[in-house]
Amino acid sequence: MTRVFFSVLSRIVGARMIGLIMRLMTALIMPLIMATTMMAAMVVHVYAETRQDAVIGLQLEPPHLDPTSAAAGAIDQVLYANVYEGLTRFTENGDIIPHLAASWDISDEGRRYQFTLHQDMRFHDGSTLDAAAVKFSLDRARSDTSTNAQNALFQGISNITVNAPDQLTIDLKQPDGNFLFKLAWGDAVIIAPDNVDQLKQSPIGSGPFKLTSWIKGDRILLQKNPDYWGMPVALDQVTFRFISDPVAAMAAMQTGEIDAFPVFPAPENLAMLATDTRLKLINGSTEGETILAINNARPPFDQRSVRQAIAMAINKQDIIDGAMFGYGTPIGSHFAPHHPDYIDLTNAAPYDPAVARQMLADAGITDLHLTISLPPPVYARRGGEIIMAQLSQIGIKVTLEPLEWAQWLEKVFRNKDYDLTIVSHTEPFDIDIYARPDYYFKYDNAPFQSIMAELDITTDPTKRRDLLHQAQRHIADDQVNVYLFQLANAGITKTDLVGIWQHAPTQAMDMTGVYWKN
Amino acid sequence: MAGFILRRLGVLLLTLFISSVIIFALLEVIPGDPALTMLGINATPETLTALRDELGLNANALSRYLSWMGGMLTGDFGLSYTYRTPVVELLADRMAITLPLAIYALIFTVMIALPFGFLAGARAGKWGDRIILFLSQIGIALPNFWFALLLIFIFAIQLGWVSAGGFSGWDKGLWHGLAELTLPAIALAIPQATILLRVLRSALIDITHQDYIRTARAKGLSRDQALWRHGWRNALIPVVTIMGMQFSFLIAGAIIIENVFTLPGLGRLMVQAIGQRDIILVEAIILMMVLIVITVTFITDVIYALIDPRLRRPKS
Amino acid sequence: MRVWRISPFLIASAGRRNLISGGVILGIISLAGLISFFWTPADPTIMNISNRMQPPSMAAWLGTDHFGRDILSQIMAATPVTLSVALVGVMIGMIGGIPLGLMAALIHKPFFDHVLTRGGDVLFAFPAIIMAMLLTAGFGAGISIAMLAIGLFNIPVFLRITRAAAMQQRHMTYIHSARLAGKSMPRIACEHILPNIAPVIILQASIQFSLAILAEAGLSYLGLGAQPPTPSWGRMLADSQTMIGLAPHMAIIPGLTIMLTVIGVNLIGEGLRQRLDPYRSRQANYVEMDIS
Repeated sequence: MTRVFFSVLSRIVGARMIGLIMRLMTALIMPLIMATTMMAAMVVHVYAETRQDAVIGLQLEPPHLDPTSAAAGAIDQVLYANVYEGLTRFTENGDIIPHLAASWDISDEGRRYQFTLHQDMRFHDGSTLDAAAVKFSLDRARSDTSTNAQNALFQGISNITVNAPDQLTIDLKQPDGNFLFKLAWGDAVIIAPDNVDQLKQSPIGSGPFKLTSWIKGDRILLQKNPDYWGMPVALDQVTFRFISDPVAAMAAMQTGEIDAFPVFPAPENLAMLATDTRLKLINGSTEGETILAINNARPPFDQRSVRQAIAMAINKQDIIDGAMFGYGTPIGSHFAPHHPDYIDLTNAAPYDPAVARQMLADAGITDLHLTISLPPPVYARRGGEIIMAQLSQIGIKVTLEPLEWAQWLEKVFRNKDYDLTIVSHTEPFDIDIYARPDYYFKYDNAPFQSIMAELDITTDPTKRRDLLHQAQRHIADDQVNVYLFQLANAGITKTDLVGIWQHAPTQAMDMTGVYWKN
Repeated sequence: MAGFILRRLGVLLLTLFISSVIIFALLEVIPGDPALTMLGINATPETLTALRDELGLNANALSRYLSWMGGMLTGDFGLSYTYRTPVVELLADRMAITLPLAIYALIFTVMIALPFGFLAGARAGKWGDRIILFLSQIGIALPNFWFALLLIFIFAIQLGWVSAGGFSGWDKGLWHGLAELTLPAIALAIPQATILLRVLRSALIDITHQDYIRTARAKGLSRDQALWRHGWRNALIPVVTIMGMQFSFLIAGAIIIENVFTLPGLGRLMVQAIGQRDIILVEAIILMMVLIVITVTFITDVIYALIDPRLRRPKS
Repeated sequence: MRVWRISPFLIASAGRRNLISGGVILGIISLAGLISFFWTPADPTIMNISNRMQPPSMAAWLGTDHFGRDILSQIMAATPVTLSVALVGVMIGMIGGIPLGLMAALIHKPFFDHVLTRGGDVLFAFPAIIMAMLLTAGFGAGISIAMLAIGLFNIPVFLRITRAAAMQQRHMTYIHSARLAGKSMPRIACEHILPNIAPVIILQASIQFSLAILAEAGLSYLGLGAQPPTPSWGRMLADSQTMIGLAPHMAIIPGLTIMLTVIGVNLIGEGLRQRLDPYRSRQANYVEMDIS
């Protein structure tokens, strides 16, 4: 068969033609490549003048769309406030304001919350959002078989009662000064009871946007919800595009394909992007306290002076500059600088390698060799390299151990099998983790635990402030960990796009207040 | 011929089975708890247990392997841990990018390798050949991820002709999709094309020394005529072998290239799935890649046998 | 009639030319690597963040990276790492693959041959990158994992080439006479077959070595190879990726180094091929392939 084909072909073509064909084929290749690249060049989007839509870049794609059963921040980024809502919510500055709940009364010494909901609220499928739906959602989140990643938020609830379609009573086991704050989390949103089975793929919320399509691996489209119960939003459509590669993200901003990249994957490129007059920087703060966590149970790190020496050998500004290209604020304790009760403790362990070296010698430590475990984020990987160089200045030998998240969670977080690690604690207001003796940095300190216990049941603002100051000082004095810097919310947006959050009190891309100038 | 194909098919299935055992065993050994990875650092022990129950992670390894295999045989690949959608759907979605990309790259490879390889082989030792050989040295030595970076730097960042990555789906039409896959396909194809080119060249040079070509020349055919009439077929054997292997490498190479260009293909899905310890998904993807590789080997063997009937006999 | 064939003289001189130019390239690079044990222009691990991403200048000949480290010093210090990972990877492949290939060819049991070749196929079906990812997920990243992943991938390659070459030798008369002389099969394999197929294996090894260099770069690019502070060309490329617009030299220099090294190895391989095996070399039965 094939033989016939070739002999026929050669006869048809004629021997003389062969040289010509070869030349032709080679001559064809270059134009072909050029043609295809030019085809590719047609992927340029042209937009009309006034726009009702926005394309937002996100680094990570949500694995699924159920905020009540995963810790993935990407889920909240897409859905929080846009599609799903809670009784209360965060604002850009981290304040807690009423949302589905119009108002509330607190009684029984802070143990009973009586919520009044807004009238005529509906989910995207037309079903009613009433007190029963709220009870359903919160009961589901706190049940024994719940897979809610922040299950602990709801453990203080003892009972939820529906009094009327818009009236709801929540009883707590003990007073909780933070209860309204806990209800604002993305994990505490109200879901449509009929939709529980489809939660992961087709979210039905009550927000001003509803999900229209999800092209896996590429983008999620939200459409304006015309029947929204609250204030209507300006945008008709929001597209979230998932671009994990910083170079691709930068190119997408330069070509204008994307209108805003509020959390940009590579801070080093921001300065260059910002030279474009059509673009402007977003530089706010997050709740991410980035720390060099120390295994307080493992010698010699159980000695305060050793931890202090390590802390004093570290130049925080160098890490902010070197790893984050200047984005970030140095901290001296595990507390966010933008919080009203913050106190500046950055001088508790000032950078001084000579003193650090001496402290190590006084503690009788020579030839210290330690391992720093590094999860994947760039702050950890680059920060680790810098810290290694800094610690070598006072004679500490460092081995870096890069880990994937799954490995980090298993080895460092669960099994506490590590010396030092770098991680950003992105949960808002989480200084209470220092009161958990079995937490991964193994800090078991009774005085601190009693400060936290007292804080839990204190509702008076002045007393709370005083307790929070004590708490910050306590862990700074004890130098439990090396508190490096507050992670910045660094991104870029088109100048004409208004209303993107500057700060990130929670992982959210709230599009409800976003609109185009002109 | 039928017996040959059946024999090779049996080998293919056996290979697949052994691979499945190896993959499963490897992933059993790797530390990392999918439930903890999904729920993060604030999850309570009760929540973790609840999720592990839901995912079926509390059963022992053997029964999990058997139920996985059993599901596979009935076409049920299970539910991804992290994405909570059927693994089959995820695979189908991602294959719709990885497979066209590999085929596209293979077309580029052939389009570059055949004419240049023939030119170099037919004009061995001449200037054209030397230039092609020199360029091919560079092509072979090019790390494809670095080449991809340079392409992005030139065409996306400096010239702004193409988007630097991402893929918006085939819904926007074939041309739009192909345009977005062009840079990745070129990045994948160039190093492979130079390898194929050199193989073709050496095969042709070899053939020009064969007796049948000399005979043909003696009959009065010109060099090109002789090569064209009698040479192609014999040059095809090594070319087909290498192309078969290259297709596998294009699939595997896509792991890196998809990450550089952020294409939502099989390779990128696998990197993410390993990171999230979505073991059931990782198993399916690796098995799929192994299947592609051995299917291509199988097809190459069959084509081989078609070209050269001597190979059809069972080995003794 | 024009006689058209490559003259033996041309082959020989081409072989010498390739050997010399390849040797010079690889020699310079290896020398730089050797020197790095005693001296580098600057300490490759010393950071100076205020002096970062400087383009090449008199102070830093090839510029500085994102931490202000000297790139030339890092390139030099990374050379032995890359070369040794590639070398050990190929050695693992040879030590594992050659005996198996000889066994597959010489033991007259079709079943045994089948098991070995199919086993090789299974191993071959796993791309080295997947292997490295799984090994890394299990045992942590590092040089030894990269060596192992590259080595495992190379075993079936050497198995195939050895088996094919040994099969051809099996029916040669000298083998028969050796058998009649009462020599055992393993002895025949070592004393007669191996020396005869050595050129084929050496040439394949040179191809695999250059591929292993590329593979090492690919693995460290993905973070699966040498870990900091050990400098690595692949990781330098990975670090440079997000800064390609700011400091292109950070991406171009390590990439060119990898390319030059591979070209050097390939030229030597080419030269060796033309020297050792001037006629067989054109039969194209060497398995050329890209690991990544």
